[in-house]
Amino acid sequence: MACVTDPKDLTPTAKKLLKAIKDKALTVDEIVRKTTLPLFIVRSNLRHLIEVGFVNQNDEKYLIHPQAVSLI
Amino acid sequence: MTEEHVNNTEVRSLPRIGDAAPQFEAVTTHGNLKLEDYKGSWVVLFSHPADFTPVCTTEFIGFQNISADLKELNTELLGLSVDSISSHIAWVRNIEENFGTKIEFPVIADLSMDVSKKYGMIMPNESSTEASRAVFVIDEKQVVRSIIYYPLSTGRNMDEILRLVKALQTADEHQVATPADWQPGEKVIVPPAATQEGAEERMNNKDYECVDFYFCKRDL
Repeated sequence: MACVTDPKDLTPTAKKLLKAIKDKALTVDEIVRKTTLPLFIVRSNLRHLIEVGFVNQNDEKYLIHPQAVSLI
Repeated sequence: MTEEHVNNTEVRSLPRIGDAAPQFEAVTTHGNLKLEDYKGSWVVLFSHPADFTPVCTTEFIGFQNISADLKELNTELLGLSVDSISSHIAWVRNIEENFGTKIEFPVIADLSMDVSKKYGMIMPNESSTEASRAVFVIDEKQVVRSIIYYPLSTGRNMDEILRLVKALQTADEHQVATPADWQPGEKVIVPPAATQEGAEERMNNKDYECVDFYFCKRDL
């Protein structure tokens, strides 16, 4: 791990994922289809984005947190 | 998983074919990944001895060259070595600059050797600080389906890794086996008859090409 990292520094992939769930909560499979990102990338990014508070999970669906909308 | 010590280096036995693949969370060039992130996809988890070395560079280019074919088989590549994330990033950038190949698959920075020890990738009598050239084919249910090991001196054959994944998936899909040097499109082996009656029936089956009751092939 680098000595200085900002966990809220968003990669282009993370931004693409957040845009996909900006207007509607989606399942992992729906996000994969919408973004064409690999399944493992979607899962790992969602985990990170939930940890930093940018994504809310409700049952099997994921939606961007209102505070993260300005970041994309 | 058993453990022993060779030259004061802890050695764990590798997972065997048919075992559940050992779970891990690791820092990679694509961020933190867990093996469970790959559930539903096949994975070719492979280790290499070190970044910025010539044989490993040829292998990385080779793996990237088969990555599109693997993706068509719902299979993802995941590399690993006992190097830092900065080293991995510098190396993949160097490969793109010098060889024109963009490495798109994630590479685990296994400085703690946590993953490489779980998978028995360290061969202490060859090198206690580097991973050997291991390949673990893991299926969509996260079961180890095949294992290949090469020494430090010898680069792997990418066509064989691709052929192996195709053969495993063909065996699963059609409940058949594949003969030596099999290639997709060629005849496959029908599992041997288990009873005398089954053997008789098999020899009379016009869809099969039988030499004897235990040796029958068919088209898919």
